[in-house]
Amino acid sequence: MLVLARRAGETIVINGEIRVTVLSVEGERARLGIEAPRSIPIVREEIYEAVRAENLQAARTSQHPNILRKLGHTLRQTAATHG
Amino acid sequence: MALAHAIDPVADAPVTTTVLFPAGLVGFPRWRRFQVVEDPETPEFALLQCLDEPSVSLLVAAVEPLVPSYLDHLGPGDQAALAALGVGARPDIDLYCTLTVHESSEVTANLAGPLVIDREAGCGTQVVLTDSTWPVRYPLGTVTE
Repeated sequence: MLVLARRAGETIVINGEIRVTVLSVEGERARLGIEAPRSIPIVREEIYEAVRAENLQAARTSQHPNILRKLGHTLRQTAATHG
Repeated sequence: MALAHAIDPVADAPVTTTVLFPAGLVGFPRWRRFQVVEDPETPEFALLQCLDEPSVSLLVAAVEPLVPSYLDHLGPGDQAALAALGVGARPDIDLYCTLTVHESSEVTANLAGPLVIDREAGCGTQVVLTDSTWPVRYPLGTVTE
């Protein structure tokens, strides 16, 4: 891992097209400003990991045939509640 | 958006649509090619069958019928990101969520990582929300005997 020390207001440039600026540092919390092309997804790691873990969990769900039969009923009830 | 909008007129056979996720699903870049399998008998959900990894299939459902306020309660960044993908503007763009049935029989929807599928182009992408509070496990109820 490349480690760089930066102060508030200072920036790093990645691959000539992504700029990460340290906006402020307060205690253990740093606020970052990121400028990047829209095509590059930027997400918080903990949310990325949570979605990844849920993808894996969801991939296991459909392997239980009995669930499919029952699931339609559950979803119809949910949709009816909102309808 | 209806899941089963193209029911086979000959028989009530499942309808399949091939979709390419160029970046794969989040955390699984090799899960790129999928078939969306829609069974007229269960129009509430569809099966996303991975063609690159046949053991992988996910249950998905259209977000809007389950959570009608979903788009309205997105943060501005996520609203812009989904709008840029055509969500809410083009009828051929579907917004799905994956479903998980837990050992407790509880059913949850992943609203933090929705799937945007462009049927016309045959491609899709999974978005990770950045400034919204929709959870990875939104409770939908329980599957009952």
